[in-house]
Amino acid sequence: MKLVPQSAQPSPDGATPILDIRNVSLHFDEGRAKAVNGVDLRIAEGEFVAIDGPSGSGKSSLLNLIGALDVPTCGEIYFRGQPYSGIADMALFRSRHIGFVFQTFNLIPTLSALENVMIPVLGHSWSAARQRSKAASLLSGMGLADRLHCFPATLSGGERQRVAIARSMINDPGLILADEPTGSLDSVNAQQVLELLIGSREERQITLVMVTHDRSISARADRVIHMHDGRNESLGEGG
Amino acid sequence: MNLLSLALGNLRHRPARSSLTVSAIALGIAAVVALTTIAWGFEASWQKANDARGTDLIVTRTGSQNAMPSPFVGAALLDQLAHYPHVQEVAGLLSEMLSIGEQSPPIFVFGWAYGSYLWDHLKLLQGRWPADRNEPVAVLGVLAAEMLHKSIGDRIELEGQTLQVIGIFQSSALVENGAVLITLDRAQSITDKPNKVNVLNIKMDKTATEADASFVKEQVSKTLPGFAAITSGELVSRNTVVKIAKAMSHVTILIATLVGALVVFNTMLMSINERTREIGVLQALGWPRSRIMYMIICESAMLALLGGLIGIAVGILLAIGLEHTELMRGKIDAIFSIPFCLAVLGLSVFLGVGGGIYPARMAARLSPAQALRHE
Repeated sequence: MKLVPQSAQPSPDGATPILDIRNVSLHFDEGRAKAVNGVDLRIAEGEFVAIDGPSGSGKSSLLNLIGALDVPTCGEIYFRGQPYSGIADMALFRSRHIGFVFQTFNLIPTLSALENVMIPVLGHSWSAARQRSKAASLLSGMGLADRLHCFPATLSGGERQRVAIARSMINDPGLILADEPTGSLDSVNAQQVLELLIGSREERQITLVMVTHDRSISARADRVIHMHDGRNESLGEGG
Repeated sequence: MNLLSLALGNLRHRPARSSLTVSAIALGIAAVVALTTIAWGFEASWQKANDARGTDLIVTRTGSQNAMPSPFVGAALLDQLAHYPHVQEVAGLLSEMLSIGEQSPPIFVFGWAYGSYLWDHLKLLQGRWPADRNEPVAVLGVLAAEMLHKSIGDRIELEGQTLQVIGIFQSSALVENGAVLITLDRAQSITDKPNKVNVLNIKMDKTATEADASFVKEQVSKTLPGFAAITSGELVSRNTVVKIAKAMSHVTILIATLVGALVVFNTMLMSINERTREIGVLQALGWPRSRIMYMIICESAMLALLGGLIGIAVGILLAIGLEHTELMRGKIDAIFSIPFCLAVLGLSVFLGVGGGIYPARMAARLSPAQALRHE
């Protein structure tokens, strides 16, 4: 899928932002519940943005909108200048450009670590050998070279999340959306996972948008967005 | 890894439910296979018996719908039929299903015209054939001898008459192997149906053509009101018992199909309900709706395929078991055909796919965000 910039505004530095979110809202219950309420946000290529805020403030809902998992009630999101509303095949768009990392890992229990990483490219034009070698390489990069054929039930929480991070990168996405990726981990594993995520993002120059409650993680971000009652407040640079 | 192995893994992950679903499908398919092979076997056994005798046409009452048509006085008809062109021989036959002794299951008793061609195809294994038309003796098919535990010199009692067993024979037709054979005159005497026969068997000469057989049919139709000359196949197919057996097998196919599809439908709905979040993850990871549908349909088709294979195997075993029961032994030769088994397997997969379509569509229509929020 080739994205053709349409009407996104360039950044002050002239570059088209990877994400340009304009007055986006997500309402439920016929407008009585406003999960996201008029968010304006621009995220540059390669930026690490942390989104924090209290429970129910709309962090995950905003992440779902960015990930094209939900359709905004109003407003528009542009990905490299292309409006989401103009993308015919959102599944294909996600498979090409977005990687997801979830708090609860969301690995497929019937598949091995290697197969879980291969899931996003299953059915693609890639050969089986290419799928396998790319997945194995990513898992090796996550320190899981000896755990390729283990099933999620036999992996620790930290290992599972590392598998999930490898899975999010198999398509070489431009954007990774992480919803509290360390929220289910102990502090040691959380730190390891965070380092891997941030390290991979720097190495591959991926834009990372992460929902987190953890101030220490926010401190590592290029920018922190604070959500409150569905609205965003930029708190400036994180670390 | 491919979609098929993924689907298989999903089924193996829920062994109890998958096994129950496969079992339910297998039961339905087994019933279809067993009943159909028995119904076909019943039909084929009778046809085989008629064919083995070398009978070309059978004259019976027009309205008779029984495997053993209602008896009629045959002598006058026999004379008339014998004079038609290319008719080599006409032989009367009287059949009954009788119990031999109190403990015995009902068994076919055939009374054949003494010295007629009907006897020619039988192979005498032990003893001898009746010496004349009135000798109070019986010869037993090998299976009948085994079932009745009788051998040469023993006596059997038929409707109050005692007959000595003088021979054991073998036929290429199961129905005859399981029968007691006596002369027509003895059969008429035992059953108190003097001069009567169930059917008249016509054997055409070697030069006879299809047209000659058709001519005989037409003549019987024109000159013998209430009678018809038909082929053994036609006689069997108008048999009420065969018709009922076939109707039952068709109803079983219908019920098994509906139940199978509903079972698959229910299983896949439950599975999708449990895996809503997983489906949301797949959508988030970029799986198109078509791929999710394909995966679900693969799962339901696999359940049905496995159920079909097991069902066919169980159905065949069931049919073999049924044809060896005391009541059925020597009467039905179950027919197993590969095309039929493949058709049943196809039906099974069809109902699996049919039962999986709606759940698959439901899964594919889930909103990714809602699916991910599902607990």
